[in-house]
Amino acid sequence: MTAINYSYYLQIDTLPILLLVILCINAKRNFRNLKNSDRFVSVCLMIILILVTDLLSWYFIGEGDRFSPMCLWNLGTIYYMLDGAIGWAWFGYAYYQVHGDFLTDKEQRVLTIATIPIVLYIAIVIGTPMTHWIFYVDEKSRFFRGNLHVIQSIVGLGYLVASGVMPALRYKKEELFERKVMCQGLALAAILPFVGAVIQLLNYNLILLWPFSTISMFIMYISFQRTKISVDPLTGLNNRGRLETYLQYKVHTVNDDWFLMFIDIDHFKKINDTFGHTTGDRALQMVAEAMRATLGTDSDCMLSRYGGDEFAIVLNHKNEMDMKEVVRQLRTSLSNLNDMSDELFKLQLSIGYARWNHNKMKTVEDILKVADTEMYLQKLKTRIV
Amino acid sequence: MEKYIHYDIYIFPMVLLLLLWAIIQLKKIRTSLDRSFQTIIAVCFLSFFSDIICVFLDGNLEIAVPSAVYLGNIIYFIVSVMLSMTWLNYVLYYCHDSIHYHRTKTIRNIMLTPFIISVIFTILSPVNQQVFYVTADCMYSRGPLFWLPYVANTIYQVAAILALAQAYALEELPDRKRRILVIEITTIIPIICTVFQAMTHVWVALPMTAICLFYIYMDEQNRQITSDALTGLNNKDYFNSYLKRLMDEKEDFYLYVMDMDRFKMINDTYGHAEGDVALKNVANFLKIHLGRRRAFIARYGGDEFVAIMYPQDDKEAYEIMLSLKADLVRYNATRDKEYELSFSMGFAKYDESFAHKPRKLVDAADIMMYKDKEGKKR
Repeated sequence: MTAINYSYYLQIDTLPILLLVILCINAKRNFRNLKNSDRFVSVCLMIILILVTDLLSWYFIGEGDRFSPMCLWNLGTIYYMLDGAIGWAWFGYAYYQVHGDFLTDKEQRVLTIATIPIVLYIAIVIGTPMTHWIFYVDEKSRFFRGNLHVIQSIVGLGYLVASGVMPALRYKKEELFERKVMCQGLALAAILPFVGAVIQLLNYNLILLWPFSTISMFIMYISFQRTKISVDPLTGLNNRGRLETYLQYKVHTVNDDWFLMFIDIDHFKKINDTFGHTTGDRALQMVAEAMRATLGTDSDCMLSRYGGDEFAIVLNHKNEMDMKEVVRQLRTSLSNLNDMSDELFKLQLSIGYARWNHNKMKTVEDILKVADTEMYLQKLKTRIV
Repeated sequence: MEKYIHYDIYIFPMVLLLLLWAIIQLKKIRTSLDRSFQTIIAVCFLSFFSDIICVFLDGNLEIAVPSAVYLGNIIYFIVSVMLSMTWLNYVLYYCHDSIHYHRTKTIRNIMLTPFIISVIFTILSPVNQQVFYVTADCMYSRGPLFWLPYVANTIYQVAAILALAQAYALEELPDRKRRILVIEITTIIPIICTVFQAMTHVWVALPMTAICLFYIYMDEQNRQITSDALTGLNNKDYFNSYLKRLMDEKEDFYLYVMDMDRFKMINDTYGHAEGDVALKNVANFLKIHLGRRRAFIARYGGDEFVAIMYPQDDKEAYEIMLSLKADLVRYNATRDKEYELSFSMGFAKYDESFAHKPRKLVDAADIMMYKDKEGKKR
């Protein structure tokens, strides 16, 4: 191995390592409270490790005169163990991401069964110096694939395909926009290393599997992050930023058949001041729950927390009659929740809405203003009564 | 073999760039800043592409003809100047931090001049062989004006660095200062790498540019994820995880709580839009006046703000509170509004008894804040 060639390998592997380090730091910093972030970071770290192992093995290959073949035996064993472990950890991450942090007994069992192949595979790799199944190294430190090298591809690809197909199947069942995006991201992320592996198989000179896997980690990071950017942590509804983006998008359509609804909790300040912020938070969660109970299954609606004690909903309904029905249902589900809860307060809402009219309205502010005024008039009425 | 490896190094950053571009393209609303960032990504991708073509054709007598080598190099030179020009364009948008930023025609013309001059000379090269020429065996050779594209590049790069340095010096808000510094560093790194590549023939210039673009993107995303959309302060979510981290580190600190007075009144009398303005003003006031010392400021909820600071003892903690309130009175005098901004404030010192009970610490500060509020009502 000449020095100039080695510097090329260094260049190929250093960029993905750099990118993974940036991803790890960011994931550690931003997703500290999410359980699955540790799994994400560990997949990143393993890919870094395998890239380093890869680099080191290139350094020793064919250098039997200078270094003992033992170095290459050890590196090869580490490399192939990591190779399987990454597939397994990747699958685990995708599995938790799709099913949530708390698994049912059945889901737990599936995960346990999925661990069997990796255990067997690692046992085979450890036995390889004796059996020469996966790979072997001759006395001149030349590297050869073993007779059963195909096992490695089957295990790796198996986990990869599983972690791509699972979210793809799940996609249809998900209701929340953000969850759909996340499933898409996971499925897409599984395709890339697959493409990389195939190209690498066709053209031996290109090293693509791990760089492409790195790109996949970035895709997973982004889809992970998107759920965080647009969700309000307290209520799980869309947050104000996402609402504003969505409104911008609606405003630029010519379609007039949509409404903006504003919801405000009556006397929220009083609840907050009397019972403390923690109780206030629970009140907000109750309203979010009522909104979900009424409209959650309707994929045409966009539920959001606008800020403080205000909520906003964008509805794609045809006429005012429908809207009156929605308001009635909202009040019913909230009063149901009121009856069920042990809290000392009874929640009441002021609700106002406005229809988009592209002849009269130009910007998001226009419709916000009308809906806000409607809500405020409603609030005055309840105060007088 | 050597040529293959050259592609191999480039494939990874190229796929990365495509992905970055697509992610931004998928956003429903793209600001002009987003668009100018996308332009850099596209031009950078073209640079990779033309670089590969040039290396592939250079001296490759089986495939290349001199005219193809000429064409490849012309594209390469044009794209490389374009890259630093679009970078400067992005930097200028960034420094002005405004969607409504419009450049006057004169400035636009001045900006284009170095680019146009180097394009003209590069395109004329097959005729007059000034910038470069191609030998009969399809090899690239420098002409007498070979420095022209490099000088054009340097002009843009220096302009970008200076614009950022100026913006950094003028900026008051600490978080924006930090972000400007990030852009400055990511502007300088590719330049260093270009010099390094010229000296060693290690292909780092373009790949590192791609990594820097990636870093800028990540930094911008982080800001969005940890900050409150309205005020730009840290949000409650990030505050909570920051507090947990601090408690793990066992360092002494003080938690301040600030609750705006009569915010409901501002909202009800002047409307929600004005309420938002009031919140933004308070946020900016806190950023500027607390940013001078070591402080972590966040919007805790509706009209409540929190800050973490590190005074030596209770006496200094109290002085910080008094001076902040005095500053707010002065700040009100500069605002031309019918209502005045004020907040009630309280603080609590973190000690062992609060370990792993962040909620308790906030409550303790809240008690002092409520006393302050009650005192005002009487």
